[in-house]
Amino acid sequence: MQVKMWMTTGAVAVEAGAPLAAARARMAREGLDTLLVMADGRPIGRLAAADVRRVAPSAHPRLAPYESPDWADRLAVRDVMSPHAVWLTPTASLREAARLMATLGVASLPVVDAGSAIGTVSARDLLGLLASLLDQRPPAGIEHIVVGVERGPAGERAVATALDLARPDAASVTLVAVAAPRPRLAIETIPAVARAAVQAAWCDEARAAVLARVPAGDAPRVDVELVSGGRREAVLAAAARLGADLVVVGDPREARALAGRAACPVLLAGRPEGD
Amino acid sequence: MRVRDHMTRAFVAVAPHASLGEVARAMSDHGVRHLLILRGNQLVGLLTDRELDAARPSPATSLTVGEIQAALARARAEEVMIRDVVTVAPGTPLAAAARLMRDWQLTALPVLQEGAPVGLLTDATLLGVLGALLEDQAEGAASRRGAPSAGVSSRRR
Repeated sequence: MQVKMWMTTGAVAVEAGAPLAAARARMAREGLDTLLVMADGRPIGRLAAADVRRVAPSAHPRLAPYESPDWADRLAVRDVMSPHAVWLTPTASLREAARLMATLGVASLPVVDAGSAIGTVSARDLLGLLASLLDQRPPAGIEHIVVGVERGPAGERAVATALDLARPDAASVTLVAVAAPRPRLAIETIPAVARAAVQAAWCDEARAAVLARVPAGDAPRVDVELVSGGRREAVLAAAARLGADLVVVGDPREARALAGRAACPVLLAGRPEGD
Repeated sequence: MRVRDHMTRAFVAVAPHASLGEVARAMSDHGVRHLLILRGNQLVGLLTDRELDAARPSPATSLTVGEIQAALARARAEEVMIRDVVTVAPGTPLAAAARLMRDWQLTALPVLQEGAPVGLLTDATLLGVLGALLEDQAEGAASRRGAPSAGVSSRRR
């Protein structure tokens, strides 16, 4: 894909001797981030929005009173331009254009043909192209799975099934589990100063217990979300927040309850043969 | 493709009361154009090189170098930061993030998970993704034409 197929046509050059105020007004009016600076019919530099900002009076209330507001208006383009002209040819690839803009940190680049600036390619246009290219791509498979981890064999099945499904696409897996409740007395007997630390340790312990269900080795990226209750709601919330492609549970009642409410498919992890 | 696949997790953050001198130093030390402004773990603003440039004095200021430094040390990030920050989640599709950036003319989107920042997606990153996609397409087209794939892949390196 060549630059000429995606550029906005129009002159984007300015003479080096032109007043900066006129160039600044034009950039604002036409939404241009960069102008090609010409002298004697050839490009000698570029004027970027950042160059214009650097000579503009400070807008900060404590610094603005010390500015000379019309000073910048007395400048010419050559006084503030950067002396490196950068442009694209119409036959350059959009790939090169995207890379050059990313490297230079500019939002647009002029296109020059036979010594004349004939158009501009902007980051705005390229972001639109990116969005449409991404829309055209076939679904990339499963990227994120949320697992409702019940206690016992149902939880084991859900974790194992999710990991099997995640592996081929290197999908991420989030395990949502209910932390085992601690007796109220156990919490109340802990001195207040140590309570947070003890509760954090309990949390780590519970997290480790969930992670212990994940076999070591080639497991995909696994995160654990612990909740104190209401696992069903927590699974739905995690699936929505993470934009999950699939929810996996091991208990049929849980699967039925979630099926109508999750924005993505809900899979019931199957029982092993003979179970 | 989701935001989480391409966001940078190594973002730079400062407190709202950081001085503009500290902001400028953080940007130049880390070579970044965007700073997240955090109060605790909560995102309260975004500061880009544009806001910093707009606050800095021009060469025509009547202040001396010392006075400029003192003024920048007194000016706070929260006085010039963008307060209404457009954010995305790690699970946001990348196409949606690209459209947000295009439509709102943004150069970066902070990535929030449960209200806390976990990454940053910049326009430069998205342009890099576009470059890679177009490269894949070109390689696909070349291999369909029977061109030697070794020549194409050597360009990649």
